[in-house]
Amino acid sequence: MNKEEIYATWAPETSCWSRWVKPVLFSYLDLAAPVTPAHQPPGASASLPASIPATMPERVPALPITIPFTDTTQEQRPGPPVPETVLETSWAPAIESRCALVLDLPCAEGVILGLELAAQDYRPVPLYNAVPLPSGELELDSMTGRPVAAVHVLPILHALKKGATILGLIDLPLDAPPAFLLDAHRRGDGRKMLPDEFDNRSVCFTTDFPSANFLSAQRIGCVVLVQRSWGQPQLDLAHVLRRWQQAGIAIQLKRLDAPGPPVPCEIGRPSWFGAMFQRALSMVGLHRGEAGGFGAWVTASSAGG
Amino acid sequence: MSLVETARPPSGPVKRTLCELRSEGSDGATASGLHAGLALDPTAFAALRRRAVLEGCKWDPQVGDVDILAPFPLVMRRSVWHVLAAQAEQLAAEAIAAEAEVSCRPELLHQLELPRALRIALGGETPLTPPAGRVFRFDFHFTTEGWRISEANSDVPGGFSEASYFTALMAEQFPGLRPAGDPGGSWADALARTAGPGGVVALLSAPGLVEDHQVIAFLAARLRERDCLAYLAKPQQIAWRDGLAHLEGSGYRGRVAAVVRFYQAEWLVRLKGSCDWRRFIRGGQTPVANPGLAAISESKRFPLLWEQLSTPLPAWRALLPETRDPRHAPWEHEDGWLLKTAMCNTGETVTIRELLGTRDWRRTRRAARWFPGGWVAQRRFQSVPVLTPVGPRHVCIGVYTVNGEAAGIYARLAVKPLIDCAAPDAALLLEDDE
Repeated sequence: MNKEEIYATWAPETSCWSRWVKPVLFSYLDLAAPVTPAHQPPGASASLPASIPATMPERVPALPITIPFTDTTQEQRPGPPVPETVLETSWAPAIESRCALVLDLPCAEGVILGLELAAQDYRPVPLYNAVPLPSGELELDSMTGRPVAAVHVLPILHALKKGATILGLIDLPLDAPPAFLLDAHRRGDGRKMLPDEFDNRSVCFTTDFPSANFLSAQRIGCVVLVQRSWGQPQLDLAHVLRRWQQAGIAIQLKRLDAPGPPVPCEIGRPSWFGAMFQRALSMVGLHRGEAGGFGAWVTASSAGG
Repeated sequence: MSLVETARPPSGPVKRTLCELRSEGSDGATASGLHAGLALDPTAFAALRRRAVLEGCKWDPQVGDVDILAPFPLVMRRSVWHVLAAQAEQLAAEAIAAEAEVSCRPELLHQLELPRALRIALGGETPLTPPAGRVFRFDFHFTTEGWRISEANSDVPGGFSEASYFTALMAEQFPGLRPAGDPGGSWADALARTAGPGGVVALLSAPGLVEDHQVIAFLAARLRERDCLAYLAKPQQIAWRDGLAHLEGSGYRGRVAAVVRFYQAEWLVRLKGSCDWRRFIRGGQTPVANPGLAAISESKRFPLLWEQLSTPLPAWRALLPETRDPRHAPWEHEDGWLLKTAMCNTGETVTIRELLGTRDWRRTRRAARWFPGGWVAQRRFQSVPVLTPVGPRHVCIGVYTVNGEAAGIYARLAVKPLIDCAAPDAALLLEDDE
């Protein structure tokens, strides 16, 4: 599949959710080198492909089960092992309940779980906004061995590329509810950035998602936030969820480290919630973090006019 | 390869004839020399949109529920473009002259509501860091009184991908119509000339904002087409040694030939640590674009200085609506005024009373009362909407100048007479006068 075909698979014209698919990573798909079984590293069985066939419905044809989701053809960090809990989807509401999902999971886990959920007729909607390292650059500093980029997006890139093959085989209903995919590490891991690191951290904004009105028009009355463990949503995402909650959409939380179904969740008022308050603060210079776009203040707008 | 030259005859996806829509246009369409073209059919437009997002670095094609790329073009008579281009060139020349004068009269800078450290840097005596070029975008609107500008984007104008790549893609679909220019290509040409063959250019933006990344990624691609080495970075990764800029990045460590600062001047002062941000303005020898002095005309309070300047500003005076300090304008009682903050960069603080709820209006009013020095009151103009395939739309025509010469147009549409970050982008194409 070429870049356009991969993008079209994740953002098909027939889906009303495709408009929200973030194109950044797809535009860099040329970076995702072809992966052949010969490149599969030892111990790659923890990644998605080997596990997918077991959970796919019978109507899905044979899947490319040996393609790893991390590319080790270059000197790159392998993706972290995927916990078994990520592959467990029995908690997911039946699509008849018209719940949307927001998967805020690290690295490529959102793609992996998104594909599992696609088998249950959820439409995965990638919202990854980080820019990968420029072409040809190594992921690890050759001298120190430390990661060069703040956010490790190549595993996501590869997962999107390989996942397109799988997703293309699934015949999703036109009204499939969305599963929005986010990288929980998008703002960095909270570690201090070094001066020469490639800073590809990102945040999500309320405008990256459909409005509550649009969700309601699609008969979506509930949103389930899926996280590995944390009880509270990340600050940028809290703005999104809070707006939906204010509009009457029920918010639930599913922690993958805890068994059981999603539980109701009350999203508290995030810092600096509300655009007009932000306007007033911007006037006195409180409008963004020194790094220019994240930290406590995440909803400011672009530099460019 | 020039994007403008790639236009080729259409494959015929246009739904209705151009004449049909033009005949339905409002009266303003005739007077403004501007009308909407016809929408492409959904399949053709979806393919075009895919190319724009995958190849043209248009990474924010959706803002909330709004599809940001309009499936129809705006069409302007070539003679109108020539007028706007000449006006934009004059505005640019006047702004640069005024900035030079203000930088020599630092006592004026405090009226612009710039951070103190930036004012000190702008008004210093160290030689100015040379410019790598200068790009402006002047936002024109057709009003009941003719063409007017709402503001100048002097410091970090964006929109190059939309104005160049997307517009060229749309032009491929409409025979006989051509883009007004290729501002991204013109800007890259200017930067490449400064950097020289094989020159290294560092393009700086704020981390975390994809809409900024897409601008410098697009420019970087254009620079690479011109045999430059282009690297994306953040301002903290520039180290100044003996006045020369060095990039301390993961992909390149060493001296650079030019710096593109897609990072607002007033944000620079918050950079901490080893970043000597003042060199972006004064004391550097490596060319920087845009130059730091751009912050002067970027401030929406720039018009408040005009009476104190010896620089004549006839184009600005003719085209920009009357602008006052909020303390000296009846904005609280008269609907003919709007408010905006001094460093309103993307239109997010432009406040028109009738477009706000009571609660929001009270908040803005309180803010403008408490901190009037951070705001301006500007007399409103009455924008004349253009009839489009999706209904009447107010149109903002952003005219670029690159090193003093008009370079193209970035057009946006809005239902309300207010252009903000959620205003859809439209390709503007030129037609020959009849």
